[in-house]
Amino acid sequence: MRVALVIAARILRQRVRDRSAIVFAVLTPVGLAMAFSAIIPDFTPTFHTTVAVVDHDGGTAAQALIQGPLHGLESAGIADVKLVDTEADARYAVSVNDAGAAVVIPAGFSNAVQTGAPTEVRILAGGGATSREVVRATVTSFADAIGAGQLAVQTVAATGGTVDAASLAAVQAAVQADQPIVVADATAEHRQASLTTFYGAAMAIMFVFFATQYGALAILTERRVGTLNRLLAAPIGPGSVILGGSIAGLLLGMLAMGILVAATTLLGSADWGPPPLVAILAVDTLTVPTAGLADILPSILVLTAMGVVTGGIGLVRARAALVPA
Amino acid sequence: MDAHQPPAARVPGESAEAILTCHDLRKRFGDRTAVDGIGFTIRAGETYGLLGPNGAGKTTTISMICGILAADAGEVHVAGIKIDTGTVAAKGAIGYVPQDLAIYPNLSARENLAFFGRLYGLRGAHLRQRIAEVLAVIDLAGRADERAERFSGGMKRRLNIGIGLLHRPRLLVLDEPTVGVDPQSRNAILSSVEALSAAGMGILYTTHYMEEAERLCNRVGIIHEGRIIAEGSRRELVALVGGLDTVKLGATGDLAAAARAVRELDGVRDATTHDGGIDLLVVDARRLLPSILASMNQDGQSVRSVEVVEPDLEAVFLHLTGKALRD
Repeated sequence: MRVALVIAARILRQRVRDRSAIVFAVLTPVGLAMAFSAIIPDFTPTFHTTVAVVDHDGGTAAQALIQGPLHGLESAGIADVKLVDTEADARYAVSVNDAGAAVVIPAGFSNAVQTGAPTEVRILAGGGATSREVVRATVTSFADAIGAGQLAVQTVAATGGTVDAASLAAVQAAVQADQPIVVADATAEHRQASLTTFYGAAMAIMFVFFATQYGALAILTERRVGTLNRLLAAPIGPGSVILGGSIAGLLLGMLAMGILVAATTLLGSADWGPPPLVAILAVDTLTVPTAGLADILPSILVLTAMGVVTGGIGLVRARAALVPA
Repeated sequence: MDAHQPPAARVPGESAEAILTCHDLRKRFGDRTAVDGIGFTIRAGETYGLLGPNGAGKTTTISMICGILAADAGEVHVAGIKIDTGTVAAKGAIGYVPQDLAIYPNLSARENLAFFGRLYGLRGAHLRQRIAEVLAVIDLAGRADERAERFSGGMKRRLNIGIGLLHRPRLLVLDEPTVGVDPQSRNAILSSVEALSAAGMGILYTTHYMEEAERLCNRVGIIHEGRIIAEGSRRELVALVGGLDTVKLGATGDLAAAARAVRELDGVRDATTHDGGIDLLVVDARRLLPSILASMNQDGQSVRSVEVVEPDLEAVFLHLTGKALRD
């Protein structure tokens, strides 16, 4: 490994000295980031709707639905919640597209929830399927949360017993419980990378894979320059030559990727999520093992073809053809 | 650097340690046999020359000896350790100087030496000391921090050799180190080799320059078409041609007929024609020269030049192969 690092350090020094590393790992990513920011519009399609709410109940459960999940939609920037007085007003708002969907909470809703009696929250929707589905998912999730309490109350009633205070308190707690999960799911469902981030990520990974050619290219360059035989005559294994080239290539690739992430963040308003360093490490973690394999395999093939590494790769004929007399 | 003395005066004895032993080396590339059963031994302090024309198999032989190329058959032992492409430890005993420049042009001389020194396990103060010593030997101390790409051809050659010396190898393998070198640098390289040999290093030196082999080598193996066809000291090899002189005649006309006529002269052993003349192997050229010229004139040939060559390795090669060394 020490020898591989010595070789990698020498390659990097040469690449810096002949400017190729600067072009590959600094100028190109910065140039791409500038191109992205200039060419790609800063436009991310987002969803937003208005939900009309008719509260004929005015009770605790109704308020819990309005102040909980529906208000959560508002907080997340997905929907505005607008209270209207009558179902007719709600239908009108939906029909003229003042609202994407409407929620009608019937009178006696809170009492039904607390006693386990059947009740129905109606959803009125216009032409927008997305609005309808968002509202339905939100209300359904609320209903599911209180379902367990309702079932317990219904069981007591069906067996002729009485509903004790503890059971009612449990239902009440379920009704009033926060529903952050519902809102978070809706947010995640509609969140997507911006175009700049998308292309930036694609380019970043490409840089790592571009860099993988360094290993095989390093060997071919050594051969062209005339130093490969000298390396092979040294008391080191051929694997060190391959590994050294691969390490140099991967380091350059990771540097290029990091600079691309930083440059697209600064210039292209790309959003890489948590601190960019975490994003760089995450992408590197995914790509480095694959890129390493993609690098080392062709390098071994190159050395095999040169007659340096022997084995069952089946390139003995190619080896004979490539080695000079 | 100036230890210029006849090789015969410093021939190591049979008791000297064998640094390199190779036996029955063979290598084929497709249908072509590049090396066909080569074997020889080099002892400490001995300079062994492989003398042969381009394509004779010298570089392939060296590549197998240095563990760069896998041999199809045969064995190589360096300092008593068998060596092949998978060997690591024994390679440390070899200093390899390839025929083509093997330096990094955009690194300085010092950086080149440091890099290869580290590959051979040198580090720290010892590495720095050896770099300074080698820079002095190859006369590049004053330009150690300049990039190699700015060096003249001769300086690059000297750096190429210096890298091979850095780790104090027991066997120095020099593959035609003076090709394309100006006379001044060439002489400096040859002097360095003589000094290293005098210091006890075993040296394998390949060349197609007969005069280099005569100057440097205690023993010479004449290699032709992948085989060593003769081996020995210069004196032993010259004896193979019976002490015959070579007369080179530059001539025009019917050279084949002229060669036939000259062969009839007493003392002429052989006559071969080539473009522009005839090469003769004769006993005592100076005595026979008037008769040769008379024969040529008698047959109507026009003789433009005459050169008499005393027996040397080139004559040996010509005698053994029927070809000139540079063909």
